[in-house]
Amino acid sequence: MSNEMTFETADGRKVIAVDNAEEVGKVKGFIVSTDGRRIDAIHVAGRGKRADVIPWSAVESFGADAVMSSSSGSTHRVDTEHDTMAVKGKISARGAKVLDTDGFEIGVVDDVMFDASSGELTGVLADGIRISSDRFRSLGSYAFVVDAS
Amino acid sequence: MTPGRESVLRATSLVGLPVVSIATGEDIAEIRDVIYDAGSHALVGFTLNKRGFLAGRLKDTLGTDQVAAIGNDAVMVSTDAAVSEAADAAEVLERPKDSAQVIGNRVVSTGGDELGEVVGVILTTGQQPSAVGYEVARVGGEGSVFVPISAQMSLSNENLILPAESTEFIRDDLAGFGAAVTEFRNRTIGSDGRTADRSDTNPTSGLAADVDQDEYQTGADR
Repeated sequence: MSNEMTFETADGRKVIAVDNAEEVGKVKGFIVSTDGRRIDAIHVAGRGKRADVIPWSAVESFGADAVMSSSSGSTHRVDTEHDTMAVKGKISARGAKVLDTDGFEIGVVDDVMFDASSGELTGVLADGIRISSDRFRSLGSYAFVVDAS
Repeated sequence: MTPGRESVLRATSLVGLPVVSIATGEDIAEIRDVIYDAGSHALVGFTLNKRGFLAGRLKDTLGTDQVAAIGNDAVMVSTDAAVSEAADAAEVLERPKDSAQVIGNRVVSTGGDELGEVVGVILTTGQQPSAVGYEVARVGGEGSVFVPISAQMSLSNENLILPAESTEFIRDDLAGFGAAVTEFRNRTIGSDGRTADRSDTNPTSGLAADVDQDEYQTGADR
């Protein structure tokens, strides 16, 4: 069953740890894998090198009102260059230039759709055009590269 | 490749285009210059600059065989390693000055008419980029014309001889030249991929006699 959400609507949602019922932060952004296919982690607090993230594997459920994290201990500091670039907004699916494999620019990503059950991206909306994730090739600091249609 | 995405443009208009890796979405370099082998009339590859405001020259080059596609907005390569893996083209890549050999040559028809002087190389973009023509500044400074590259062209240090079969495909605008190149290829390359017999061609006279000066500059390069 599809459980599609968008980055825009998920923004600012509370993140709560199941083990102690404490709020560990809010959804500040998403770290998307280099292949552009899935959410690796959620940025929940702090900035830059002091940003805290929770890996998608620790997400118990991504609900309409709150994101439930399996434990308060699953939150950790960003520890890779890729993740640091992501929390700084230097690699970001939203706002990325969409470039196809033929070298033509399609537009700029306005919003990103994902399956809240699996964390897999299902598509992006760029200049009003929906691009399905089966065309995704990579997300880097320069562009979101997709297969030419 | 969708038809119509391949275009014909001046080699120099690729300068500054980013080189983007399909595997990572990173802009790993930008085009500095085109490396051209005048002897074989072939696009060999590109020299590169670093990206960014303090852009300096990169030692790595990009061989044509490593290019996934050239589009309006970027030169695409499959992986970041493409810019250093130019083994096949290495010999010519190390001598990029060769690219200058054809520029400045006089273009003379087999009938002995001097058309003008080579000022640039014309490429097709897309997934199989290649050199398809020369831009020739006409004698007397009356703009330029575009002549197709052909296997029968002969080149010396000073002259480029235009074979008779090419003359009917000379155009004075890039957009028109694109269509002419397609027709020229269909004419000279048979369905078996071999060059057609020269007697098949029907050379006509008049080196772009009906030139329209207003059309020049409205190139298809952007």
